Amino acid sequence: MKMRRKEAGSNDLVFEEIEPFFLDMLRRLPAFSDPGEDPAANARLYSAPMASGGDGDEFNEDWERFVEPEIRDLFRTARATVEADLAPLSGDMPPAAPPGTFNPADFTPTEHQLEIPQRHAEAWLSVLNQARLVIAARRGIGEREMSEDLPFPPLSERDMDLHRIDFYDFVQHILLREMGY
Amino acid sequence: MPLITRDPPPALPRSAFPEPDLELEEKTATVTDIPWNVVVHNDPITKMNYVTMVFQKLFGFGRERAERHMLEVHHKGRSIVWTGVRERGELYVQQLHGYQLLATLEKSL
Repeated sequence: MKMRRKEAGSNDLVFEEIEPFFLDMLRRLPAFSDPGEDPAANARLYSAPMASGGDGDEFNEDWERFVEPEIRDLFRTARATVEADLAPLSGDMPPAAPPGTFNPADFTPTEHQLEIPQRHAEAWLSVLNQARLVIAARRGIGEREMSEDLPFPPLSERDMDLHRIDFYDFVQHILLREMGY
Repeated sequence: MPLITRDPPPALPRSAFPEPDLELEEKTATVTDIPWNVVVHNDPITKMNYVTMVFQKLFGFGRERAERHMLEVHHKGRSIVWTGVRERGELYVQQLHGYQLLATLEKSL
């Protein structure tokens, strides 16, 4: 996979020659960022703003009722932006090799390319971070797992999730660097 | 021209003035004067450069100050990133949650 500016002087980014291993992760990014009904993922994305007890309980109840819906809308809007940018990547493609197997074709560059306009960078950062948090919360991935070497080839779906967390971090890193952070 | 003076009006009895509700006044003063802290808490998944970016964007911190707070979160588990009136603090916490950071509001001691 390569990354370049769309054109000289532009801050719009193009990811090209994307290997199937990473293409699958990109296409599934919006789905991975959605906590659905998972309690741990929802608790992480929509955490309590005040310690419980005293005034905190009432404040947290009001927050859940009035503020949390706004945050959910914010995340949904960002997800819709990312889905639109990913639309050109949809289509028939052989699925990536299942965990535990290694198919060299998964790492053969394709002609697929992804354009991320600069004006969408914040939405992408949000969705990438949401996905990392949701995946980690669902899997119970914490500091210990994050400090371990990535298993390769991935032997399980959990190993794949670790790779997704790592890849989404990579894309975040690129975007932040291009934004000057 | 001679200065015209008048006799001062008769003093009103003390009973004409209601006693101030000192408890209410003190409570009101206390509520508005207590500052509130916006606290960001550590999580092992969100990356440090992302946290630094959020601090710069949201609070207008320079890079050095943003990184100092980020490192405090990372090493000490939490950092007070802002102190002030409660309503503003609530807004900051909402905005931090919008960036998926773990943030809470607490009374400043």
